[in-house]
Amino acid sequence: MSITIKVAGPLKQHLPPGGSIPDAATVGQAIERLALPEVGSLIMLVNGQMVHWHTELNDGDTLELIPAMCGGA
Amino acid sequence: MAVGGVWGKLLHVDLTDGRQWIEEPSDEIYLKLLGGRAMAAWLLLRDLPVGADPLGPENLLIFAPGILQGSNLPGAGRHGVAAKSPLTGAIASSEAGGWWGHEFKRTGHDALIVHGKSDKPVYLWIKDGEVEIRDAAHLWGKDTADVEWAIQGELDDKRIRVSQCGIAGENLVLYANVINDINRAAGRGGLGAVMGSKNLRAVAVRGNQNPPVATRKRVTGVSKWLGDNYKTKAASFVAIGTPGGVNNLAAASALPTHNFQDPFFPQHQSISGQLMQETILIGRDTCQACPISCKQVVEHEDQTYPDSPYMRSDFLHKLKLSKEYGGPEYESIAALGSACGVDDFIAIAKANEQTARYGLDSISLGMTIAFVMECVGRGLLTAEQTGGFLPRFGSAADMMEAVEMIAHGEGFGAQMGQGSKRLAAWIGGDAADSLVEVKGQELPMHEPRAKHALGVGYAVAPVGADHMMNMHDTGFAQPGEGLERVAEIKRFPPMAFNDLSHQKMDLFYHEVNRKHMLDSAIICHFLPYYPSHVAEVLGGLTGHDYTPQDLLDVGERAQTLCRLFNLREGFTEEDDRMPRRVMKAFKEGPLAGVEITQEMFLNARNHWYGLMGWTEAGVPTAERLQSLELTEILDGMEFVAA
Repeated sequence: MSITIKVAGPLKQHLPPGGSIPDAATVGQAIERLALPEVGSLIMLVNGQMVHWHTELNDGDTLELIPAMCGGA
Repeated sequence: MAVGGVWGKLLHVDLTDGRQWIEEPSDEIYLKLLGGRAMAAWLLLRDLPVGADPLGPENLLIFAPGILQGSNLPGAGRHGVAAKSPLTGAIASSEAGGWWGHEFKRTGHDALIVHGKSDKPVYLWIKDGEVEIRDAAHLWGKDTADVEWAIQGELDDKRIRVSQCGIAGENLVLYANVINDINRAAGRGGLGAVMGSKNLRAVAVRGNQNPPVATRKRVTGVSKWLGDNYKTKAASFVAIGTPGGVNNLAAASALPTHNFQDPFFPQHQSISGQLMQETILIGRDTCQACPISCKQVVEHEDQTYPDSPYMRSDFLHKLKLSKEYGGPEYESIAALGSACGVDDFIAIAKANEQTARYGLDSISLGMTIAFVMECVGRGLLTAEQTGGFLPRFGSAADMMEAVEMIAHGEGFGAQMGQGSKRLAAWIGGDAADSLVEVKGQELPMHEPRAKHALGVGYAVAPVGADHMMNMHDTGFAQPGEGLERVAEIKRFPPMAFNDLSHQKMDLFYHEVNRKHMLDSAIICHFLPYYPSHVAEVLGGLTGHDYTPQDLLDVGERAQTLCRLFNLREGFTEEDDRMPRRVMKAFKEGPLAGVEITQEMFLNARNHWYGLMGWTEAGVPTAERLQSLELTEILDGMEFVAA
């Protein structure tokens, strides 16, 4: 099984070698495997669709992680 | 006075007859309400006649810091402003950063309540215990920076801090704001119009008194924790600030585009925080005692920036940006940018500068212009109706022209200055189909389809649609600070952005109470404090101990008092609704097919009513008022309870 990982700007240094991980049943497991630093708010996309921590992953999926600001004023 | 951190003195000034008096609330008021929103809602319930005209002399304009102001805690450079809103008819309650709140607290007062109306333009000058009403005829009609510098000049003190309405407030634009320190804003709900309606142009303050503190080292201990941790825990605010949200939210269909119609803004790179850093950003600014420095300072002088691949070059780059008005934050970038289809960053930054110069809420401003642009596109507005002004989505020049017309109340600008809801009624037909507002206040720049609980929060916030006294689902979608902070009250697992279950609303209940507490204490939301940090500071200031749950009770009191006010002014659960447009699924993109049904919404909203101790009609029960220890505070006041 292979999951391709894409991360936005400040997270790029935490990309795994080759840009993929071999095994993760869910989005949450994949994120834990990456051992990302605290980002506060995270937007999770699988194959371009917004998903969540418990979403199941399939072989060949692309997981994209984007830190999201939640401030504004 | 057995409560540290406060003076025990509320300053009342009546502009009709010039009377001033000091009120000395009980210890219980301070300990139960802290200040800010909770105190303002209590004062409005007590002193504002039911049904008062928000632009009439009966309205109260309340400047309310909280217990934390004057403490030098990072994040306490902030204060609240409140009144009955001329835009919505509900309560208006906004906060602003900078230095004014700190300085005002040092004058020896805990709040300022302005009554009545002056028969000519005036400003208030508060220097420690002395209060003077001074002529402001020479300030009327001027830009906010010029007014602040003029006041500092004539009173011969550059350290005077000024809070003011701008010409938009003078012209009674219903979403005019109150500006302090030239570029900070108590933004939403038309508080600037209330100020202008009283012929009050400014409140100038200078204070030299340190509020009493019970145990200072409990406060400095938390300041030190912040100093040791802000670079990691507030990293994105340090690195780029709120504009970092533009590209990130765009990737999730969450950057509002064309009045919330479209799932993509393809030109989002052209209005991003990254572009701002590469081009016009010359520095960062901060608020009193805060090391984070999240604010943007920009400058631009008739040049193009050929090195950036995203910059369009056309005539608008001949504009000049002046640094004293500050650079745009995320809300302004999106409201004046993607919501209007505008991708020219210089134009957006210039329009943002004008909002500080004139005193206009950038969110309602941008969204009202977007609404007009949509109506023009739908053929609902004619040149005859608008005096020839027919702004189009994507036109930076039209957007900037609209800002000038609105601020000055020129021609159709006067209609636009009424906000989108009144404008829809004026246009007639099915113009209301293009509205994206709650209780008459336009939606801020966070997409409910990407943050479902936030959408419910838009419906139930006491001021109309608001993103600050609200929960951002993405902050609780994975293990991290959001969930750890609320775990001091109750532990929740990561929950999906589109989860509207009862468990999600349980989390929403605690988190939104926490936000209202921050707006009563008062602390900036961008500081990474846990409730236990706030409890430690409050204990150190007041000499009375708080638990994290005690703090959330303050937030619940603030919300409940606001609710009682709104109910008394005629609002019902029918007004706690989401705009239809942001419940319907986009057809493409990351959020394709994701909808919020009315059933999902009502199920979530009504569960939250229950958690708040409100009936199915959204009315607080006497039992909950009792358990929140509000019954005595409300004694003698007119309100609706179940």
